[in-house]
Amino acid sequence: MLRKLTILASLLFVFGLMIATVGCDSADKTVNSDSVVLNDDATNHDPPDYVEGSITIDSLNVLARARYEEDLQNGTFAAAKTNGWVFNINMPSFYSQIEPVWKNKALGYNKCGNSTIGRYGCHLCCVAMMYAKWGYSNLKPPNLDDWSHNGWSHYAFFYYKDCGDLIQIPQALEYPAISRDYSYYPKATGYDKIYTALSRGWPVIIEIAYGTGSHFMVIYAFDGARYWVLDPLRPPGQGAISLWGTGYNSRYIKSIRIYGHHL
Amino acid sequence: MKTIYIFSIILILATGLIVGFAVSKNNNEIQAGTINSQTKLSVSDIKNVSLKSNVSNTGITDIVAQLNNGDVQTIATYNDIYVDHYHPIEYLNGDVYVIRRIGDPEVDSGWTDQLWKIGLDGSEVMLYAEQGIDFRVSSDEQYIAIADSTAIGQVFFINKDGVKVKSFLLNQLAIDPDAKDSEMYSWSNDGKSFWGGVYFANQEDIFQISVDDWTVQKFAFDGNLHNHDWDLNPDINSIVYSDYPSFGDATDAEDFDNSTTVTHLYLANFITGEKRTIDTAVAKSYQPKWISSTEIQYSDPTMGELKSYFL
Repeated sequence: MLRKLTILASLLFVFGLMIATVGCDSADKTVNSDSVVLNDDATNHDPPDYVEGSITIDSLNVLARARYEEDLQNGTFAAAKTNGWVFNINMPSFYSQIEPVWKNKALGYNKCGNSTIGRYGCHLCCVAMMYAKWGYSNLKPPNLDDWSHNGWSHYAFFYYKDCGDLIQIPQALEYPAISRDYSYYPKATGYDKIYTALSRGWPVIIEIAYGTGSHFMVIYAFDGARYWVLDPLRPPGQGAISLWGTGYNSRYIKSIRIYGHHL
Repeated sequence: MKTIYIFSIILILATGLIVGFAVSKNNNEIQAGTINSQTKLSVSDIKNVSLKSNVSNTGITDIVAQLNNGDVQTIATYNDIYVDHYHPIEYLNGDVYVIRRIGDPEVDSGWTDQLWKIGLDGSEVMLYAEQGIDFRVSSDEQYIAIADSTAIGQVFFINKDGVKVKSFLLNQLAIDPDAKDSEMYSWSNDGKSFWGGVYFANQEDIFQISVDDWTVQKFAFDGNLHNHDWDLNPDINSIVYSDYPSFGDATDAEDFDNSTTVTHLYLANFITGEKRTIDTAVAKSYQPKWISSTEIQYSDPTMGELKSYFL
């Protein structure tokens, strides 16, 4: 009898725990019907913005291939590739702008009230990836976003323009208090600098036309046919992708930047 | 022997009760804040509610009410309000909705952002918890639009009890298949429709969800939602916006300001398709705002002062 009572008490114990646990998910009941009306008349798909005087990503890869072929003929790359790569710069960290930890964090001074790292923080993430390469592994995007220096609460951002969410170079490259060189090439003027920079072990920041604005990525490798980037718009842990066949090809280059060095 | 059995039964029951109660308590009142029981405010007393850093305790945040008589009164105090969130708080009809970040993402993989509703009567209830959330509450508080980072681009709706009632995937909201994410704008004043947008596509689309029948209207937008130089009026299905460009950094912006590029301020209605030019200027933005459904106010590009446009 007592043995039965013990078993009953144990069952009650487990049941009590189950009730408590089920209580956690009581608000997570999804009702997902398909009653969605689409506006089929809407027009769609203009080509990515043309940038006068610039070239497309596709052209960038073609030019890089030509440069590589030339180097091979000249014997510059006698050993050709290493593990399939012509250049493959070690990047210690990939920072996604849509990382849940900081996706909704206010960007810069956020004077307009709707600036977030998730929406506008691709350039910030690229600069933070450069810092990781320079040894500042603790300076993640939200830390660089909030970096206070010289009396400014968001020193890497320009307060006086628009919503205060635009990165200002060279200030953003000064962490913790070190001036760093940088090169800036608008439109097509810097296409041939990418290859040279990678050959020296320097990652390159590329700004491309994307939707109604710009998008920034870090070029870190070349496989003999295509450049490879760390794209902050990709999910955490999946940042590396070739600049080909992913919607990039026909997009135009707005600028090329090399941070931390001059070319 | 009998005594040992009885003692064991009592021990098991007591342990079950204590653990069950503790887990239940932890679910519902995790790291609860301090509600100011002396508040005794009524809705008519309050002009606005906002967050304010506690003057005497670093890391503590007060939810404060600006009263119509000019006074300021603390409603509640928490040590975990996600103040870095771009949109951490809303106040409607005597209810404060606030996001709290529970756990440190650097050391706790189980961290969550939690949406709490706090009443002037001292009540507090958690409505939703997930990693990386955003929210907008309808004016009648019947529904809350939610986005969380675990389902990129998805927008769903919970009712006032926190129960999920409807979900929309990104491809149900976007026209452009290249769209990468959605963002939430605002509810109409009657709480009947919710507006948002999708981005990182070839173009930006805007969507309107009607809560009466959960239908979606999608609009291909020819403007630039990335430049902050626009304002949506959900009550009359209209947007005022400019073609001022968006920039990659401050240098790009300054270069444009020194150019001779003409920018335009437009008014468009999504339903009728009507679009008209309100103003033009050289290399200027307008910062337009809807004052009412018949008045738009914007920065006069030539004088830098506020200018009104009446519909």
